[in-house]
Amino acid sequence: MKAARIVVVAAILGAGAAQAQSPETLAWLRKMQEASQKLSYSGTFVYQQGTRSETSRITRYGAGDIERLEVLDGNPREIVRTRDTLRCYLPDSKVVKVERRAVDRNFPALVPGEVAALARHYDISLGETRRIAGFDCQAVVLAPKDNLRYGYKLYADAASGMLLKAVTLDANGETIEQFSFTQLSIGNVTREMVRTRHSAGTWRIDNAEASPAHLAGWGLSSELPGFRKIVELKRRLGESRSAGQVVYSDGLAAVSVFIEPLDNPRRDVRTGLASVGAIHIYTREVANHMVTVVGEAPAASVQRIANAVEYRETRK
Amino acid sequence: MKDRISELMDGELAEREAADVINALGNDAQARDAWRTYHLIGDALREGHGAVVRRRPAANSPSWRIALPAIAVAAAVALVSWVAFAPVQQNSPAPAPMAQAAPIVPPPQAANDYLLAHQGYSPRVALQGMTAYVRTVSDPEPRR
Repeated sequence: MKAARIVVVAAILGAGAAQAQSPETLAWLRKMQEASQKLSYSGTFVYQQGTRSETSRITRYGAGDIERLEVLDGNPREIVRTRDTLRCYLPDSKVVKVERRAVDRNFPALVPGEVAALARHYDISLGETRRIAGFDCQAVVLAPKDNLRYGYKLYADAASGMLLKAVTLDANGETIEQFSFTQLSIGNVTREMVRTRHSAGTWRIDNAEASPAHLAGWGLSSELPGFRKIVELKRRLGESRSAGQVVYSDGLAAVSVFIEPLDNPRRDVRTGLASVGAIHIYTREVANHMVTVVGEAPAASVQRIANAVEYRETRK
Repeated sequence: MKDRISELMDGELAEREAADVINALGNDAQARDAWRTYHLIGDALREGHGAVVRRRPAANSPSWRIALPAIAVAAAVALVSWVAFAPVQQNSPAPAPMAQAAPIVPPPQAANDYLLAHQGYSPRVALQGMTAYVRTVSDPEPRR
């Protein structure tokens, strides 16, 4: 009788552990990450958000670690990313936004320990298999354990691990946004294919340098459960405003806090909440600074972080 | 103005007048507060209990931004969708100190700068590569 009870308890614990920590599901996440960093590919994908959808082409040249993204609808906006620099070409305003990376290219990679740590905030399980753009895909489901983050359904090519489709879901299981390849070919990419198609010699260049720094006095009065600080930077934003940036993450979702001095002439600050797809942006004023919190998390989470931002006079 | 908002909620305004009040709701924070308050009162009366403080605006509804400049009826629907109140999940392990209703604003002009700066540090990009960046160059606002 006692033995039977132990077996039942073991079975329950075993089931719980299998759901949260199955090596197989975690291996899928690592496989996706490796694929996104090693493969050469070129393909067309659709980004859907609400009733809007937009088609883009993406090309990755694995040998040089260069990626190029081109929006095919509307203005031909384009981003080219190399190992340490990201250039965003905006032909309608003849601007190139240049973002130099402060930390190495693979940051923030999901290192093995962090993949396992994801299971603290998400129930990770294997979903159905489905054919997408001609590839047999395996779904991996990340269901949030609380309402502070969104859920995700990721479909990866069973052979290569390449992510073919990613769906972001809210607490009701409604789709908030999704990325889905409609065509993909793996391999056969040349250096030429990832060069920009714009000759931007005469365009304005917005340089955004960023370097790790300690933002003295700034912090959160209370952290959002599961979100820890992953990087703290001083940087340039836009045409060259200086700003501080602190990024918090639960291992999958990230929230950035931007801190900019409100100098003269005072810029027009509209405090409140805005949204772009699954990303919420909350702006408020703290200690004569404009605080803008940007994150792929539910509005309430972004707002909670924003409301926790505080400045404390530091003693010399 | 408060009387007009109340009349709008009760469906007592003609189309033209309704459009004016809806415009005011879009521009005037006080009017919006009144609108919210009246809905809270209405909800509380209908439900007959003190759940009011545990409610928050459904601010993440994607429809509001696109619909605002549209015709009055569409605008009314959109307004309802973003100032309507959705119940907070009861099973939250850490009940939030409930956020006050945040004013809804269009994405800041510099939204793309923030997104660009943000996405480089999002683990999403490690899984998904550059496709995540499409939000940055995507143009959610109708072009002017």
